[in-house]
Amino acid sequence: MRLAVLVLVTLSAGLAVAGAALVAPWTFALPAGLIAGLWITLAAWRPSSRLHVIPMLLCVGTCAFLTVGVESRILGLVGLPLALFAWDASFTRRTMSRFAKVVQPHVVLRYAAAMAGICGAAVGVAVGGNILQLRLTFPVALGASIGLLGLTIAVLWAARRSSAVVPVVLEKKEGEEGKEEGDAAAEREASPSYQPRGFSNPH
Amino acid sequence: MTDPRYPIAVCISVGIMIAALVTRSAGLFMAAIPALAYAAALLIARLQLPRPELDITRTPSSRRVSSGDDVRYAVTVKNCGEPLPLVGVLDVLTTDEPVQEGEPSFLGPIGRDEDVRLSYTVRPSRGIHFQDHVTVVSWTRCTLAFQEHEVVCSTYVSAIPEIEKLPPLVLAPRRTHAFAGPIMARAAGPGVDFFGCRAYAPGDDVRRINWRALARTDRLIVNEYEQERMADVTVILDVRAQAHVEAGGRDTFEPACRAAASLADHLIRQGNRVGFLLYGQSIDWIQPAGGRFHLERILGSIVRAKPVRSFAFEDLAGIPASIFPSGSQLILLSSLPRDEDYEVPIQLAARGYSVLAVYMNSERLQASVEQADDALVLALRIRSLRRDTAIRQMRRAGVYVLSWDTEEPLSVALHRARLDRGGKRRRS
Repeated sequence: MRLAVLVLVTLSAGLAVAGAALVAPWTFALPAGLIAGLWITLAAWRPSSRLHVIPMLLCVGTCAFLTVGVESRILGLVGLPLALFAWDASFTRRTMSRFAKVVQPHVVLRYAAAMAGICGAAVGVAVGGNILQLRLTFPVALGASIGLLGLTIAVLWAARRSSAVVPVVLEKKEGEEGKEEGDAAAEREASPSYQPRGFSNPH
Repeated sequence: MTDPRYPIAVCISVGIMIAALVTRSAGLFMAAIPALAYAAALLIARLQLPRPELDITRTPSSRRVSSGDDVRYAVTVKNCGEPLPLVGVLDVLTTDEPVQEGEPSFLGPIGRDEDVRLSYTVRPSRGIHFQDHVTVVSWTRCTLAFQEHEVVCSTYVSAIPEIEKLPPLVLAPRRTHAFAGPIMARAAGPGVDFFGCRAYAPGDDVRRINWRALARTDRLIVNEYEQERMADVTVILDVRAQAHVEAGGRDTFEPACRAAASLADHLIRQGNRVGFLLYGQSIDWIQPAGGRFHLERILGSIVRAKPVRSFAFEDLAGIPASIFPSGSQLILLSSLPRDEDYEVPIQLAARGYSVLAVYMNSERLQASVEQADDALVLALRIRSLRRDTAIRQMRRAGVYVLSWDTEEPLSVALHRARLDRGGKRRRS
């Protein structure tokens, strides 16, 4: 998974730098190259770092900017999902590394296939729209606005439904209640706040 | 652990779409499609998240260990619900000590009615180590979305301080009990050590007649022996934060706890009634008693001890002397950090208690960590002189002071003290 993160970061950062070089070789490509280099270094050094979100956002912004120009549009359209994919891979690696030092290959393959499918489909739609020379006319803008509204509702609904940590209390089996009560005294005595007895005078 | 991917993906797609609508750029609009697809995929995956129904049991090899001993945990995770394509199980450790052997975590699929067994070994430090839950993270089949759960599973392990074997202690309480024990009672009676001679009285055992004295004086004289009785001994552990030093990952608190536990164990094993006072945060007082159960009670109190800073107990003078049995032996474990603290053992001795002050000397610990410069050397020298003066005053007032370097075991200091005294008093 470490290698996958590095490859994806290199690809997306490379595409962003190449697009920036097409737009403005010195004023735009130089800082883009510098940030890309830092991101690649970070991916090689700490593939699970939380800091990946910063270069990812910069890369996504660069790629979005590249899609405005006709010449660099393809690079931007391919680079943007790759940047998202690279960041997602680093996040997934961080989540899984809590539980296992090495993630099993079939898990990595399944994840890579799912992400490649999503990215491929998205790039296909975007490039198809580019080939068809889609224009942002009033009906398209209206549709996009409705889509935005729907997305906002979906976000609110999903945020309400999901919570970070869900405590699960298992139902007690028959016969365990007595055992629990029996252990309660020992647990109480072992608790840090337990005071064994009050202040008393032996005389 | 929260999943920030969904809100970030939505923010990116919404941001790009707003920019596209503002600039009326079709290219930007198309750039929003991948981010939108990513957010939609995450949303769909989140809806498909399985809810794990796991039965988790954790069994430590022992609930009570000595610090430094290994505890082996066996964790069994049984899936009572739907098959889980990918699940991560992490047993949350409460101790900072590293895992010695095995793994407290698992990542992989668990089928219906299947179970996974984790086994790992840790070496807990002194204290009570509670573990109240196991962290479980379940992923979807394509590992796009996950959700974290905390499955309640409570166990605890109590790690008592390591108890060292101590040499015989020199104790001389002013009052002893009527029962036989290890303390020299300063009274004639059945015993082993020679106490004195007196004239023969009818009824005396003939075997106790001193025949040499008879030959010399031509009178019947019998030998007397010193009685050995049990006594009340109270161990006072000073847990005020200012009484302890921590430097370079080492401190004086853990040795103090170890010494208190060793003293209590040693005295109870000898048949004395031992009381225990934890002085610092509050007055945690255990009345003198004997036996294994009582020792466990004292060890439980030491396990819970931690250095605390309390304005109410800032001064050692707050020790409630009236709770101690009159004329009993007191053993005070403290570094006596304040000048007023030196007065307390003297006052206790004046009230009729026999006081053994174990002075915890941390100079070697500080000198080994801090860089030696002229100012430090001078400061240590001044403190050493003041300490020596105070110890001399305490000794003049009848307090027996044992200077104990916390870098070495208490038994070494006790051995050295016995050699210094030249065996003037007998063991107890």
